[in-house]
Amino acid sequence: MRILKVFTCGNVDDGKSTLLGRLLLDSDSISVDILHQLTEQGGGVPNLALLTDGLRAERSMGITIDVAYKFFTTKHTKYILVDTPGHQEYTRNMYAGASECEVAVVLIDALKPIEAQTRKHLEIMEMLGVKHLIVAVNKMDAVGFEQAVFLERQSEVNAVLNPLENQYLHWIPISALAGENVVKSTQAMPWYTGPSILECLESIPALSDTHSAMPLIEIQGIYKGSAYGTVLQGTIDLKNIWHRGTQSLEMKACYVNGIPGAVAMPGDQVTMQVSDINGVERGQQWGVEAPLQGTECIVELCWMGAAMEPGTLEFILRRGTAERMARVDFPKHINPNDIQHINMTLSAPIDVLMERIAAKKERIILIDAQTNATVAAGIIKSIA
Amino acid sequence: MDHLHYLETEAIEILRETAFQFERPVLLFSGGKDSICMVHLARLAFAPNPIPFTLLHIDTGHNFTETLSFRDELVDTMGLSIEVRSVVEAMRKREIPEPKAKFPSRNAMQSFALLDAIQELNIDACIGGGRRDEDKARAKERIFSFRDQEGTWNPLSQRPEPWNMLNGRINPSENVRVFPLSNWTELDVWHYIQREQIALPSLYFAHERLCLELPDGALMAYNPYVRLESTDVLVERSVRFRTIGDMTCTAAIPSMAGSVEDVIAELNQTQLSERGATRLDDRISEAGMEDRKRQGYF
Repeated sequence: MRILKVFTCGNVDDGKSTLLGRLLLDSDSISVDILHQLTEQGGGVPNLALLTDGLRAERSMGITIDVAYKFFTTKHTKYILVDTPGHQEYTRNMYAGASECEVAVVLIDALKPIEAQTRKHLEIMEMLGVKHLIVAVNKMDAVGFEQAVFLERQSEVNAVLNPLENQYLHWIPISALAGENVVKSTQAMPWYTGPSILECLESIPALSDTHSAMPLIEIQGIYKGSAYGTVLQGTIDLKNIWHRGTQSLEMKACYVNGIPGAVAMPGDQVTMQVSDINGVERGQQWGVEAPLQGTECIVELCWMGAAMEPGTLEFILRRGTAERMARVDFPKHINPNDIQHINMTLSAPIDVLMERIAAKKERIILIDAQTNATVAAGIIKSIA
Repeated sequence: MDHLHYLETEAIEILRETAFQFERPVLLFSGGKDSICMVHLARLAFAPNPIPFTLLHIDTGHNFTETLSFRDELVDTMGLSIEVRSVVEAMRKREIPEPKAKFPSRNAMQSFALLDAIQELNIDACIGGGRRDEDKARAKERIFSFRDQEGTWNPLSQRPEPWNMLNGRINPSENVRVFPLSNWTELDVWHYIQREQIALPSLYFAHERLCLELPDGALMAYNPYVRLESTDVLVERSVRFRTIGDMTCTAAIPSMAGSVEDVIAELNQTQLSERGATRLDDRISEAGMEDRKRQGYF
């Protein structure tokens, strides 16, 4: 069974939680005891939004504040569903939830023209490079299942969306409430002959683009003389790996996911017993080519902390397992959930591959050294 | 990517991040299938070197004997180190009386023993087997879940974890709960047990047992702690346990599943959620888990 990570986003009240509930309900993924509870709370019909609004505060306010993770499986796929908040003030949670997903389901309300927050979500999708975008025009039941309304919303979205070269767009008219085109194909919209959301998800091929990339390992740490690492990309023969691209390694023994072996794929966890562990450090990248070393970065940053005045401040920067101090220049006032291009200077160089910057794969978080809170996340646009 | 392969590598990566970001992490061990899987994953994560975590068992004194003997054998054969801390001891310290209910569960009191152990052993990270599919409050929890000096979870100010970049930085007397199995479901765990041929306590498989049949049909293993009444019905049934908690709050389910394959087939047919089917303590209120977690629960 393959695995696919999907997140839902859209403005508040566009019906995200209802959509997820519908997906789970119609794919028989809700246990009868849970369904019984939802039906009681919904006064006879299951209140689907309550399935993912798991916190007291969310239920009392009737909104999604933080990311909820739900799972369901079909014959060939395990789905990790990430329900992300719609409210502007929780954009940071939406950004974090979306960051790791391969597919986005963006909900658009058929009843009203698209709003600023939806534009922001679309912008984040482009920024993160989410590969598949399913734009679902919801509440079609409320507009008499009219094709004209669907086309109107489609042209509004097209006006703001600049999909990247390798991004795929899928348009689907749905009613999450009535279950039209969510799991089952619609009867109510004969003018639409495409797939339902689930059918669309099922047809998305497994992603394998990182297998053919240049082999790269990131070092997690040293323990009892062994180097532990994670394969970031490429298919790797550990016997041919070069320490930071410059120094050949004498590999005494290697393990892939705890089993003796030398061939590793993206995501694999490797252990390397090398002849000389001197100079090996957490945060290094090992591959077949020498990495760039840089300290001056431009980062497209999503700010997650409190509002900040213009100025220069120091933070701890994490890139994968590498940590540096970073002097960050805020050219103008920045509010929570704002996205800005920010210059920063690192205390010491980090290893970077150019092709990973181009692929939006060099990502960072900023940590406040006093409170230890994660205050920003972003993608490195350039480094020198 | 194959889903078990993905879940395995994700869990190993989380276990390694815990080892490399913290000074004194422990692996919370209950003797249940999830913590047994975590021990297996920890062995793979650090092979060929030993597991760099001490196990911590919070013992309510209400464990099944099968759980305890399985625990001791596992620790022995794998050469692990384990600390056991007593819930009864933590209750005595706080002068908390024994629960008087028909099923006198000490389950909620485990938090006290855990918080005491964290302080005593100066623990900065507790690795737990919690899964997001178990409960809707858990579905909201991060992989590195921050606890303040009082051990409290604040669900409204969790650290974002974009691209699974886990921030384990803490100040003194704070700690982090780590959940490597966050994205696993009950069925994923069983498929993994099948693939890796992981041994489990016999309680997980069908066996004949003397049970108390409750009015709603739930079957509780007959045990010395339950307060029997004259109207109670004792029956001998073929049962197994879907979760292994205390004898006082874990229901058995009628089952003929004698092997891992049978259990998987049974779970594919079942209509009830794991906790709904087996945990008396989770039926209390909708926010039961959120409230307990806020107070320092696993």
